[in-house]
Amino acid sequence: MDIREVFQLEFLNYAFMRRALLAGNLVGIVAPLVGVFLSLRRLSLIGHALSHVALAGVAIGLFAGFFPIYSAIVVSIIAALAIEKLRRDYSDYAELSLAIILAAGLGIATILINLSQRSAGIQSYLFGSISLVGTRDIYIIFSLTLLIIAIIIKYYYGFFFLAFNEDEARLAGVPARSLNIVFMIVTSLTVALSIQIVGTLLIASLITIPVATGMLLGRSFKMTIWYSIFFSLMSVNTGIVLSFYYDLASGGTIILFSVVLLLMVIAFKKIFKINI
Amino acid sequence: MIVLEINNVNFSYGDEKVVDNISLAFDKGDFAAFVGPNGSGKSTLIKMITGNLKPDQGEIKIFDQLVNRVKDWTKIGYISQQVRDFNQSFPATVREIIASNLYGKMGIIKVMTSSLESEILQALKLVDMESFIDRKIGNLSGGQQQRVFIARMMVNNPDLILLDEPLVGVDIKAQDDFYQIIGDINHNLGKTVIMVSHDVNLISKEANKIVCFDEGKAFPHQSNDFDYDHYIEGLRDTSIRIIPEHGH
Repeated sequence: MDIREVFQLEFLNYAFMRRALLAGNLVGIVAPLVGVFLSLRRLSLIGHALSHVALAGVAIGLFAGFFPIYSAIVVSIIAALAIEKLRRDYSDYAELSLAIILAAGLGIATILINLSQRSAGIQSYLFGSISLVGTRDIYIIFSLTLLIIAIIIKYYYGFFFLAFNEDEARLAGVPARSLNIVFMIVTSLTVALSIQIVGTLLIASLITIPVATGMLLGRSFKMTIWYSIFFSLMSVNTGIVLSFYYDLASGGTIILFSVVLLLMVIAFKKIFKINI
Repeated sequence: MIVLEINNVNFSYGDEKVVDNISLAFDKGDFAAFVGPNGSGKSTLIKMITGNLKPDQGEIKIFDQLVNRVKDWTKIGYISQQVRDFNQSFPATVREIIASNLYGKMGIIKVMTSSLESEILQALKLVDMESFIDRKIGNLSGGQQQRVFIARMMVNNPDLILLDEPLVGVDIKAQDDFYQIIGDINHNLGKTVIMVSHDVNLISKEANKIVCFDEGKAFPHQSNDFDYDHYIEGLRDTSIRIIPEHGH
């Protein structure tokens, strides 16, 4: 890699790189935005379970000849609603319900991938591939990003209260049950639109690692969100550019860079004895 | 004016009856103390008043409305036993914690307005914490957090205040501050307060009604005819638990 090429933004001459960076930045905004609420509710595993179900959605799309993102969206929304129902009905065994949904998703995906004639591209959906992002994907990712941001702005304080104390939220007039359902749908949309950039196996990491870094520095909830988005965008852009020059899987590169940022912030806080 | 009415309420966990045919009524401006040993049914009754549990039999009315029909929960302020059990590293400021309780007052687009901001400041002034507005909640002491949660409750100007053992794990100084603030809210603002407590001695100085719970039954007293020593002796006889006796 010639470093001058990087600074001259040579990679932007390629249409697929422009699409990948645009999609990556949109995903880089919504993943930690949703991730802050998920992580603080200690529900990060839901992202992990939904990503495996989304893989089943992709496999259904490949098997039946649909556009994979559409089927991933539909299947992960259904799974998200099922998780919410199980989480409510079996609150003492919430993790068990996640494990069941995750396993079922992976089981369906495995069978369909084996049966499918078009399963050659499945690896790209597992690990993320920047060459996978087409123009139609950009339209979908852009629309869903706007929708997710609008929903989070509208219900920001409700989601915040649910994250802080779900039991007390209802008494403050927060419609906990319906907001939980809205939040699960937002989470499933985030997972579905992140598939092409980071891959199903690593989506949960993009939802949680930049948030973990942001939480080390945020003095307030809003600042934590901004820091998380900042670290996520740094990871996404660096990861995509590195994966272009070194022919690496974009998902893995993005996630590894986000881990490096997390370790750097931990070291920075220790060395300079910063207490937030 | 009756604010809270409990009529022949029963509740069991499986075969174990924890609330046994309780009927009580509280007027506007009452400060009622629910006292009694662990498992006597007082917290279960509070959970039914807040709608978190449904009575097996009987009915509970708040402002003459059945609990399951109450739409405007902002008129009911609540601090639970677990109020300070939150994740202490939760990245939120005092302003954000109190703002979240204004959700019901926000319009269709749930954003803060300058009038809601001034309500936050007013609530913090009530507990003398306005200078802490931009501090991280987890960095405050237990007593300061307690006052923030009172401000969060009061920001909606509730008419009925339910406190379910909010002083567990709080030091004596913070307990005194808490009673001072809640006493002022009750006397000066005329709010109805119902508080579950283990510390009969402290709460009996503030409350005008004391309801003793024992094996799911409730025995109401006016505070002026409540015999503290007799109550303590009764507990000692049953060897249920030791009640702190500051000042007695």
